[in-house]
Amino acid sequence: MTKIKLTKSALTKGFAALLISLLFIELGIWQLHRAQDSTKASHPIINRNVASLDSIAQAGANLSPMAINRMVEMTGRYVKLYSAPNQPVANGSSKRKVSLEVRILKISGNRGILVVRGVDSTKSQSIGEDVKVIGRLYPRQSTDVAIPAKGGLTRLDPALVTGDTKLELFDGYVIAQLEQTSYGIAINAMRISAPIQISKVSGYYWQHITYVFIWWLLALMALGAPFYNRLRDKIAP
Amino acid sequence: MNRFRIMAIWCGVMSLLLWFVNVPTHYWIFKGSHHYFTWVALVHGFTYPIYVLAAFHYCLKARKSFNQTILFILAGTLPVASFIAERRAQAEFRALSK
Repeated sequence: MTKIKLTKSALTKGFAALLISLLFIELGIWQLHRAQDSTKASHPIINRNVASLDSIAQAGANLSPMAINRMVEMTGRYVKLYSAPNQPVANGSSKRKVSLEVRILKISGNRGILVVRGVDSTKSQSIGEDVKVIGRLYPRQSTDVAIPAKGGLTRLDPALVTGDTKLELFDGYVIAQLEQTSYGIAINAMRISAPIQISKVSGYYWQHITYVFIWWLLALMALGAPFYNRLRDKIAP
Repeated sequence: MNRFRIMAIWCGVMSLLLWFVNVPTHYWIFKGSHHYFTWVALVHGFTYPIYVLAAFHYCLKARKSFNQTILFILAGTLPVASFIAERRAQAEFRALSK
């Protein structure tokens, strides 16, 4: 049996192989999570219960797949008003493009969330009091649907308004289905429907599983890398 | 040698399809037709590990250095690199046979 010399160089190589191997294992775990997320996203769990926004999402953090499509409620005050032109909205079985009224709702703890109130009207309502909003939570849009204009949002994405406010914003946006004042009086707006969105994590379940297999195979090979020359000499002397 | 050659050609073809058909239809052109090509990524994903093992085995047998082995393994991810690797391996094999 040959002895392995524990020289400084051998230790360094072993440590490097271990680090690279851990990195590959972590990449495999990441792909495993993406495989799980892709399944969850393509088969949304329809939960009709209205949840408090705080209970399912955190300001400044990515929306979890479980939070997407949930009906949420929150109370706060509108602080900014925007228009989001050219947004596709379900109209029966077809889609039409409209301009939407979007506001930032400031809620407790110096946090905020984008709320789509409905179709944008030429005469914007002044809402200066606290409002309770109930609506469906959606992930941020990733592609522009309109050309940039002042006061206009090219897509429904809180990243576009971070420069306008010091609030810590929640990821995604809410399409309001009901707004009430603190006295319980409903506020009218030209509401739009808030259908369940079948979102997709890029790629397919089995595609991510193949990547898991590849990363873990590479991890195994990285672990064996310090013994490569020994193995080669044994197989092909 | 033959195992490596077959897998190198297979991976090269799949990489070409992945880079020049699957990816463009997913992000840039003819997006509506992407669902016809989803199998490409899956097949490439499942067969690449076989290529990795075949390349590793070939490199051990051919007494390649560790760095060359890494390059041979990576060749399976680029469209034409695995074809080049296959040609090189065959040329080396012929040179040894003479």
